Amino acid sequence: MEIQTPFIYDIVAQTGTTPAAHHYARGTTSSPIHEVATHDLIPAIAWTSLSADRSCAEVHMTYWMDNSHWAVVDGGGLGHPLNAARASHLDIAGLENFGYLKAMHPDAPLKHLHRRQITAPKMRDVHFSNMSEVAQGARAWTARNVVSCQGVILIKVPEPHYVIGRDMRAGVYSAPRVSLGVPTGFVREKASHIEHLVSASLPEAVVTILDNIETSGFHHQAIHDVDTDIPELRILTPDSVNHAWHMESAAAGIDTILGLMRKRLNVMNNEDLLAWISLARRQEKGIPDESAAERMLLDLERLSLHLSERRFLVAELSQALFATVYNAQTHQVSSTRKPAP
Amino acid sequence: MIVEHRFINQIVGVLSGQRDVSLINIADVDRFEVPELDEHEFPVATFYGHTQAAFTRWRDGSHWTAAESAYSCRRTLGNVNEERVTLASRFMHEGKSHTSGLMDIRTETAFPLQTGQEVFPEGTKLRTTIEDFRESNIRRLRTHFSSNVALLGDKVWVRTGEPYYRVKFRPDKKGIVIDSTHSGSEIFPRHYHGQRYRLDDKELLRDQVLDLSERGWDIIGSNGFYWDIPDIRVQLPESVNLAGEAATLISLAMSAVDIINPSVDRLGLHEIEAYATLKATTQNHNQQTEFGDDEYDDLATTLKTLRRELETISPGYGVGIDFALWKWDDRDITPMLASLPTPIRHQGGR
Repeated sequence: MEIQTPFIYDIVAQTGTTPAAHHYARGTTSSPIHEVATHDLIPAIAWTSLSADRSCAEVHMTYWMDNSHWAVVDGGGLGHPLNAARASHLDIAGLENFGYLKAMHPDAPLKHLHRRQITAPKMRDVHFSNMSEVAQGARAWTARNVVSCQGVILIKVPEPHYVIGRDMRAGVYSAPRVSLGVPTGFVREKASHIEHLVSASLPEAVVTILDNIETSGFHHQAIHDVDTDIPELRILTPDSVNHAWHMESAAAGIDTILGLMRKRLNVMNNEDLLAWISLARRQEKGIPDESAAERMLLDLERLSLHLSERRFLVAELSQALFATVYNAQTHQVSSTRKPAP
Repeated sequence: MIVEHRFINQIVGVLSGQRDVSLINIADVDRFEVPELDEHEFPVATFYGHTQAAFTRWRDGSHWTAAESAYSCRRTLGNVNEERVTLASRFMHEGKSHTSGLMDIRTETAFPLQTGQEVFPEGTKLRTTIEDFRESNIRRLRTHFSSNVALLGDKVWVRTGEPYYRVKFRPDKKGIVIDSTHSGSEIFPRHYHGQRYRLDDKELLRDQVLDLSERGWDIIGSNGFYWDIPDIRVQLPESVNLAGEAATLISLAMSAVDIINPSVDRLGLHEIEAYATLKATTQNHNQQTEFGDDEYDDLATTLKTLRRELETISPGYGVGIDFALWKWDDRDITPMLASLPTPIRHQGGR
């Protein structure tokens, strides 16, 4: 089976009367997708959500294959069970809705937003074009991330998890809200300003984090306003839950804090400036494990005067990290090192 | 001569009507002694200016200038009355330091006041005094008055930077300005005002101006046929020892820190790193006596990194950097070779 897939490539060419310059151009190619058997797709995680017309609850699930989660594409939605899905047709618009271009060009996720993106017929006098290489890459990427099973298309999705999200409301952080981080496309989209992500196997860590936030009063809402119902998630294949979501949220949180501190760079003394740079470098390189994240949060604590009114963020992040790792001791295999209690 | 000097004192304490301990700035006044000198221990070094009416004197390894108007000595001494000198601004010098080829005094403010910081009038009552910095402030000022200010006849003389020729780039007019200046009360090369040339490098300057005009730079102030380098008479040859390339590099670095500062938050990591290096190097200079050779190379590298950003913020800066770096790479290294046997001094922390 083959599907049409879009991609963005670089081209140096003339458009109109302007001299040759670099542009992003858009192309499409036909990519083959593999056919898999029904018994290869093992139900992994199931959850319920309202149907499209909000009349009733529907069961959704991901399937486990090849060490990753897969979800059924059904119309514009994702995650219906295989047997309930209609034969799906995935066109270019559908792929783009699922963040295809963003996922395929991870080096430049905003490439597809580029204003000067042009189409082939407008170009003259092409000096350089990497169309065939990018098309080749797009075909290979599609083969790895899209499969079909008896006429139904499945895409590779991130693992479902719990999200404790906090948004900015009139300049202050709202109370935490727990929701399910269920797949909406190839890549995970951030929904809140600060998010604590917890693996699906650790609902008790969610409770601990919520308790911490509530007792610390790190928000400006009344306690009774806080939505602490933990949504239900059914793990059908325990092996399929192995993603270290807490590391991802710690990295994102550290990134947010470093970004907030940027505004203060021009008034920092040299010591703080150097500390900030080294932290940003460590963040850029990637945080290898929990203890590294904890050390970074300790270093951020020293700089946290620069966060002015958001100083609580560092404490909240380290508490969340601690809660997840501490609760994970008995459950999770993937956490390599734990910070000392 | 005894002068009365107004300065700003720091006290850690609690103001009446407040609860918290804070650092409080309070105006204060004290008397200091300024040494009186004779003509023979204070020889004239250079005559400069339009009619060569102005001159610098030479003493203790640096040039001195007469603080004649309230403006020229705004940063040092205010009104000179018979026995009463008042500081108009809060700036003060503290001790002198030696930079390779440059004698200078740090013109850092003793305590840089942030905008919005209040200075309380003299005699403000405090509820609690935890620490009073008056002693150290007075010690610093005493050093300043005894080593950086002198009295000759009825005029007050203050240390100044060495007079120099400069080539200023004006990319908007595609032109260059050649003139001479001595840095007034800006004794340390703090602000970039163009490429600096020492006074006895007149031939070199002439060659390079010709070279620049061949490359299409107009000489602003010439009528198209005639141009000249301002004449400066050097009375004491040993007083001319400016390392023009180094001084330009320092002045570029010093102003680069100030130019970059407001927009540092939108720079990339490596540019912020360069900014931090610049800041550290220029700040270190307040504590150490001279720049090491490796530090000059640091300055050159960081200026190269920041060139694009500096050019964006203040157009024309980039040309200055290019020219200064080219001059720095092209500098006369004979004095450096002569001093090679001495061990290279390593700066701490690097």
